[in-house]
Order: sequence, then C-alpha cells, then structure tokens
Amino acid sequence: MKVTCEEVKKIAHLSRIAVTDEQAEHMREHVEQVLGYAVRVCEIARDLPEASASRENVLRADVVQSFDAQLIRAQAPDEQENLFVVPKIL
Amino acid sequence: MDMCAFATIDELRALIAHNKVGASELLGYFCQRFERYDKQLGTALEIFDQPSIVQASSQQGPLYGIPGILKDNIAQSGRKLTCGSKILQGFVSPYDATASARLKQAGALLVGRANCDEFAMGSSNEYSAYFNCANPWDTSRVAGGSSGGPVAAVAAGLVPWALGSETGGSVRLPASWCNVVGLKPTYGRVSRYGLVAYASSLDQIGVVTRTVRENAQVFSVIAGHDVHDATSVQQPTHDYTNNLNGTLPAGLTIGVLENMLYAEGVNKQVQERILAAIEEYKKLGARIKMVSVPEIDYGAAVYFIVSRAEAASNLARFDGVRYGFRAQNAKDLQDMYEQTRAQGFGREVCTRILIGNYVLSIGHADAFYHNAKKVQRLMTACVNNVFKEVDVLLAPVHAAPAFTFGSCDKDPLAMDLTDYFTCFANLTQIPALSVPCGFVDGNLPTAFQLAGPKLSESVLYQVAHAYEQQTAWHTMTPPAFSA
Repeated sequence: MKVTCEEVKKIAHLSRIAVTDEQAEHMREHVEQVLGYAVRVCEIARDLPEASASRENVLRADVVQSFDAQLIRAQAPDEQENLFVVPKIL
Repeated sequence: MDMCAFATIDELRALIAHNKVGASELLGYFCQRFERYDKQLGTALEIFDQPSIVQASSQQGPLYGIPGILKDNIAQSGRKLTCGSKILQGFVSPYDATASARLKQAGALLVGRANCDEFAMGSSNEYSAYFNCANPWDTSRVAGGSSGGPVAAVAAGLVPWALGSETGGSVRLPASWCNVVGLKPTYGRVSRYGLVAYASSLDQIGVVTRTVRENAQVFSVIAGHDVHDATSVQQPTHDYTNNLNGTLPAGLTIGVLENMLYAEGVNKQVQERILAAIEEYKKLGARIKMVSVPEIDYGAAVYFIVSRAEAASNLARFDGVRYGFRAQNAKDLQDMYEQTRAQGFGREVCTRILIGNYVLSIGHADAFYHNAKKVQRLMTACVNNVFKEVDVLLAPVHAAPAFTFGSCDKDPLAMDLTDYFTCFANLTQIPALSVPCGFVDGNLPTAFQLAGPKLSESVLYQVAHAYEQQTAWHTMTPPAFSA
C-alpha cells in the first residue's frame, strides 16, 4: 500500500487543510501506515454480499426551537448587521 | 472531610441527607482537591465558579449535591466547549446536551470541563491541544484516552463520577489503565444530542466511576429515549442498580474471548490477572466457555476506515465562519478555510480527516469504505451469534498497562492499535464494561471487560458487581492523591 505526497496534498486540498511539503511527508507516512493496516478488510470482504440495508425513518414534530440570535452572532469571528462576514470569495 | 475524597455516591448522599455536610461545602471540598492536585494531573480544562455550579442544578434528585465532571465534548449550556481543540477556542455552548440536562435535573453538580484528546481522537490524551493528562498511579505515564481527563479525575478522587465518550474504546481503555469502572452503553441507549460528533454511527456517551454500583446510578440518570437523537433507542429504562446483590444471574455462561486473550503482544501479567478473574467467576458459580470470534480480529481495520470516514464528514463544519477560531490575514475565502483548519486542528485530527476523505474518494471507496461496512456487518452477525452460546463475553481491555509519555511518538500506528481490544463493541453496537482486576509491574492497573448483547447493561452490571464484591481492587486508591 503506497501513498504518495501528491495524493496527500490533493486530499488535503479537498479537505480544506493547508499543508507544507514537510507536513505532507509526515502525514503521508502515517496515512500509509494506517491504510496499509486497514487494507486487510479486502481479504475478508471479497466473498461477502453487498449490504441489504434495513433503514427506518425516525420522525418528530417539526417544531422551531429558537436560540437567542445574539448568543449565536456573538460566537462569530466576524459579523455585521445580522450576517457572517468572510474574506472575499474571488 | 478528607474521608470524602474516595467516598461512594451513597456515602456522600448520606452525609448530605443527615446534614453532616452541606452540598456547597462538599462542592468546595472537591474544588479544592482540583486546586491541590490537578497541576500534577491535568484532568480539567476548566473548573467553574462554585455559585454558578450550584445554580445550574436542581436542589433535589438522586444525585443531589454529588459533584462530577464532563468530558469537554459534551455540551453544557453557557459554558465553553472546546473538544480539546484550538479550533473551538472561545466557543460557548448555547444549549445543554441531553445527558447534561438530565444530570442537572437529578441534582448532580457539574463542576467543569474535562481534558481529552482533540475531538476524542486518541488513546493517550496526548493529542489534547491544551495539555497532557497524567495517570494518577504513575504520573510519568498516560492516563489513556481519549477520555483521560474524566477517568483520571475519578481515579484520583477529584470527583466521584464523570462522563466520557466512546467511539472505539475511549472510556474503557483509560478506565482500565486507572483502576476505575468504565461503561460503553448500547448504541442509542444514551442520547448523543449535545455530544460533539466524531463518528456518529459509533459515538456514545459513557460513564466513569470507582465502583460498579455508582456507575449504574449515574447511568440510570442519563439513559433513555430522546426525541432529539434519531438513533436513540425507544425501549424503556429502569433503575440499573436493581440487580446488584453480589450474585450472578442463575445459570450464567461467560464466554472468554480466546483470540483476544491470547492475541499477539498481550502482556503475560495482564493475562494472569484475567485468568485469576475467570477463576473468581468459577467460584461464583459461572460456567466458563472459551470462545473464538476471529472476525473480531478485523475490528481495528474496519474501525480505522469507518471512524475516519465519518470524522472527515463531521469535522467539515469547522470552517472559521460561524464560531470558534479563524486564521487571520487570509487572502480569500478558500485560503481562510485552509489556514483556519490547518492552524485550528492538531496533526492527528488532520491526519484522520485525510484518511477519511481518502477512503471515501472515487477509486478507493470500494476497496476501503464499502468493504469495511461489509466486514462490520459480518462482525455484528458473528458477535450476535456467539451470544446464542454465552450470556456475556469476557476479554482484556488492553495488551499492556499504561505507557510513558511520548512512547508512541515515533509509531502512531501502535497507539491506534490499542483500539483492537475495544472497538468491536462500538462496531457491533453492544454494551461493554471495563472492570478493574488488579495491578501489574507493582502499581499499574489492569482490567477485564464484559460485553453483552444490545441493552444488556443490567446483566453486565450484575456480573461485574458480583466480582467486585469478592475482590478489593476497587478500594485501592493512588497513594500520591490519597491524602
């Protein structure tokens, strides 16, 4: 089971986590170790049937339970006029 | 008052009921113990001011005046909630977890926020973004994780009870390393509402105490259906102390999980202590049957995949927009997300997110995620099958006693693999209870675990309690914190 630094960087980008080359290399080793161990599920899963999922919906009354808006807004790193402020998008 | 440090909940309740000590006085005493001892241990991220603790709880109920501490991934209204992470620094929970609310209603005093591995990811508490948590039996060693803070606080007599959380063994492992009792309930028996998600299909709040009876007392308060958690089990609960009479259920058969007891690397002394516990059960009248469930040996592999996959999805919400930490000087929104998450999450959390997104990505999902789910179902069927032959399973909780700080720095997989002994219960949704059974290398605690079919917590408690009544391990306290 080989994982390359490029794969780690690509997945890190998809995960929205900035990584330096050094961090990517360190993570690569750990990711490779864990996946190298976990890949053994393939041995036993080969002959197993696909899941026949038995799912059930659990419903409850759709009652609005409001929180204090001020309490929620106060948690924001940056907010203005009832809106969350973020850096420019483009 | 010093006799109170390791007193049981019943003893403390009696003191309050007979006006020998006031609830506020008792709270003050335990808060002083944190002040005196916690610099050496690091169990608490915060101890609240005493008037606000008293004010938050009912003045009556089965746990009236009994202080306890909650792992810092369980929401307490108006209190900070960090999950041991910098990314949630400053966040204040606007609501109570159902477990917190039920405890407050029962009169329990919630004294603070307990240390833990970041987002409950780890086996040693060394991944807390704040500080390590030491083992009260040997402070050069880890308390275990991820619920290290709750467990070490109970073990050191800083509180009589605590709540932790389990995804792959995070209550039972530290409990086994600190000589306390740790329960992982049936999936859905305790509401997850207000428990910050790591891997939602596995997460469950667990109970930590020094004795089995106390564990059942706290569990009786928090167990039960909750409309706020769609995975909550609907069956009624009861008083889980009812069966604790020192005897075993009639005709009990205990299945000893042979493949785990004799797994590679299990310390000889740990094995000896477990074999001694089995002898004790024979004396109590249990029938012992050696059983092997080889499918369980795939548990850690399945767990690595399923838990990381769910973590990657659950932790996507931490983006620096609505709450918590935000990286400064980002050039645009994308950069803000990436820098916030890189600076806000620790390395272990980042690695788990990467693994999660890797095993879910096109080209890898079939080999990893879908296969893991298939094997998880196979494991569940095999474990359910073994309960046709035996009433409960008995197995080790760990291969070796608590390790010294930094031992796994160069080999993180070794740390991850501690989950092998515990995660089968999480993957198959069954309850499991870690029970102290002695010491190895002189002063390092060890334990066995009992696991039973879904919703068999009463049986596990009864079986564990009968053993506890025949032994004195639960009465032993760490000398450095016993003054």
